[in-house]
Amino acid sequence: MTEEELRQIKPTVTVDARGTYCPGPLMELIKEMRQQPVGSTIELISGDAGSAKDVPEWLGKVKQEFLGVIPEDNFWRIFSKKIKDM
Amino acid sequence: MSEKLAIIIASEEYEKSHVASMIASVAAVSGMNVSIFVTMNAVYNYLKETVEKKNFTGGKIYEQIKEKKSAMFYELFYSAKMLGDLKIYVCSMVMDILKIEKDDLIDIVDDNVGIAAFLGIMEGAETITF
Repeated sequence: MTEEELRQIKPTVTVDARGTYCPGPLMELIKEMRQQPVGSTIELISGDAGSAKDVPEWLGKVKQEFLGVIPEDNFWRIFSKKIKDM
Repeated sequence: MSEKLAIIIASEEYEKSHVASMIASVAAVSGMNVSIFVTMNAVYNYLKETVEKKNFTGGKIYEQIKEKKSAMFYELFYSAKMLGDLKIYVCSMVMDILKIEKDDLIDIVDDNVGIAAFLGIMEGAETITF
């Protein structure tokens, strides 16, 4: 998705994981994704530079959908979608 | 990538348990079966007494982790256990030598095992040693 399209997304839930260090943001996303029903869109806000690379890698491994990342000044907004049970 | 990961932690250095807990967490939540074997001086870091007093042996990054109030290795292991397949075993030989019981170890420890048992557990696993 383009940044424009990502900005239009109304996520089902937003997880603000700023203030946690690697792998904190990824773990926060996983906890949330487990609880949300299939079809949910999740926005993860992370202040950890590694997350923008780590999260898509993990989503690929567990076969959930990665929608994209919006880099902001001091944080990253990472969008994903739960497409199957986990 | 192998579907099994085994991590052996022998050093008392705090940072080694910390990086082990980071790798183990992400592996466990990615669907891998993860087994940790804590042995030699590393066992001291898994004693209730050490954890309660935060009496760890660590270097510069350990000091920063404390200062930044980042999650400690045992907290990372704890959440990984909630979210994935991760087991922590402590070396029974070291427990014998130190005269410690399972009750002296922090609750995230699943069991104490000997080498033969751990070799069985880690069979076919990718192995990392700290």
